[in-house]
Amino acid sequence: MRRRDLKAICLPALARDKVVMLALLGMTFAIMLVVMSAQLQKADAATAEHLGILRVGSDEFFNYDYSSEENSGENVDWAIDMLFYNDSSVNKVKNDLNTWLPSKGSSAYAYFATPLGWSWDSDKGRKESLCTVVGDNVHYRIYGPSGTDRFYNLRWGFYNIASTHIDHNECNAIDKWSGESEKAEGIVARDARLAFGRRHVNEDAINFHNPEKHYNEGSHHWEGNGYATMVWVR
Amino acid sequence: MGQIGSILALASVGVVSVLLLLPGHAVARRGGVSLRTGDEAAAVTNTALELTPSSPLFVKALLPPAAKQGRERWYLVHFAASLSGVGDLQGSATLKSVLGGWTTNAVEFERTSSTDGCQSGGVRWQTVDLFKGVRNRVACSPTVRLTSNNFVPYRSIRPGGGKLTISLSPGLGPDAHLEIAAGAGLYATALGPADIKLDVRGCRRIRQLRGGWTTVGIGIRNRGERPASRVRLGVEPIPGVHIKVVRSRPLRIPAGESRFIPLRIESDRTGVVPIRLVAVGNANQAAAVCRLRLRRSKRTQGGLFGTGLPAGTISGIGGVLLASLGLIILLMLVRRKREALA
Repeated sequence: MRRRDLKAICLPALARDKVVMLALLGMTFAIMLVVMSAQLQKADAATAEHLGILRVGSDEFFNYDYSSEENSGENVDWAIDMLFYNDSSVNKVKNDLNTWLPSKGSSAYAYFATPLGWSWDSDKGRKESLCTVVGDNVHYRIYGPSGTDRFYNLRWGFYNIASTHIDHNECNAIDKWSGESEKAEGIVARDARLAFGRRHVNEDAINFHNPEKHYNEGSHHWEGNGYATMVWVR
Repeated sequence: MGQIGSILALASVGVVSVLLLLPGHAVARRGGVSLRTGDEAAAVTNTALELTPSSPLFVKALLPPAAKQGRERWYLVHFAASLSGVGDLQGSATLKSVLGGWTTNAVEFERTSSTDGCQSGGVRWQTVDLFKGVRNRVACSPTVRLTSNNFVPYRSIRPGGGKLTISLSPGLGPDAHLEIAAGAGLYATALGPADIKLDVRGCRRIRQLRGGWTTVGIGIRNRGERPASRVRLGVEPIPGVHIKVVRSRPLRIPAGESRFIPLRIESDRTGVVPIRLVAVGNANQAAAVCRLRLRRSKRTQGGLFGTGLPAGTISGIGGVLLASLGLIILLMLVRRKREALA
């Protein structure tokens, strides 16, 4: 009788422990899913129709960035759609835009000529928040040659090139996509106006010959007019 | 004398102003500086000055009415800096010059890391300009001396008055001193930067792979007005094709001259092979695509009895067979002689 009573008391307690354990397991699983989905976000490479070398003055660089260090039209990530110039460097731009775009993203790669020949530069870039469950997260990546992190020519002074895109629902398996670079470019330009001054940002000012009509290639949502925004960095 | 001869330059540091009336053809050659005889001082300082974040150096220049970068004259900014007490460097600092709102020269200093090999701390500095290209140096000594020369951006040169500012951002420690030597400022010269261009006409002449490989000469021409230094040729890798730049040492190409760099190409592929090339010098880079139309030479087509072995291997095998045959004949002769004696 006494033993049965004990059982009657202990069983609900055991059941509670199981519930807690299951809840913990579930949470761990959910966190793992979120982390995995954030990791998988970058694995998407896409196909560019207008991949080519931009020759500006004496400089040359490809007009898209890449998902990995492989120079192929089927391995691109996003179109180069921003130019920071006059006194730009990778760190300076990141510091100046940090108020609006503070979080690190995942790496992509740009390809250009440097004193050691054709060379890759990788950048994780900066985004609005670490990982959004619902909604848009603007992400830009900025590139320059290793050693100086900036190019120089007589037309633009010290400059860097950058790509932009939106990561939508990136930590959510439902309706997850990346792209709409034109919209992202506009948002980074808005932030740049606040950082560098209204008259120092000139949207769609220069033709980088990488237009992409609005269409979806898997989770890669292309959109771009081929013109880059120029930002004068003080 | 020239247009610059009549330029009135005013240099001022804080509240101290120095008025300079330049003689017109100031020869500016400082230790190790790339300025040349004939480069004219447009507006320069006449004394060495210490630079701190709160006291930048201003040099005012009155430029001719037709002043334009690259039209008859090229404008460049020069300064020589000496940084002492670098062990006290706290974070990073930038030394830069600005003309007409455009940054013309920029040198970034940062403390060395443990991998830089300095025992008691040092400074890493980096810059890029159209004279020496990219420089990324480590100085372990307590004093760092550097010169910075750069052709200024097109839009920084405007007719009339211009102000050149040389400034230092905060970041150096309280014991660090940065001194700008006399002669810092704006110069004008008739000689523009080096300008290299690739010549890939030699690629059209290559038709056959002999023994699986061939060589092609790539021309690099300096169309600019100053020597191109540290010129290298880079090649983008292609799967199935092994490309080696035979001369890997950096080249110096005088103005108006060309140099040829051979490429050795070993290929499993035939047909059109596009090789993406880039030549990079101190002032610019040039890219081109060398399109090779490759086919195997008849001598190596099919190889020995259709084995596909290259000519060198075939010769080797042939030699071994001949030697073996000779040995067999010799042994047979020896055997016949022994039999005859028996």
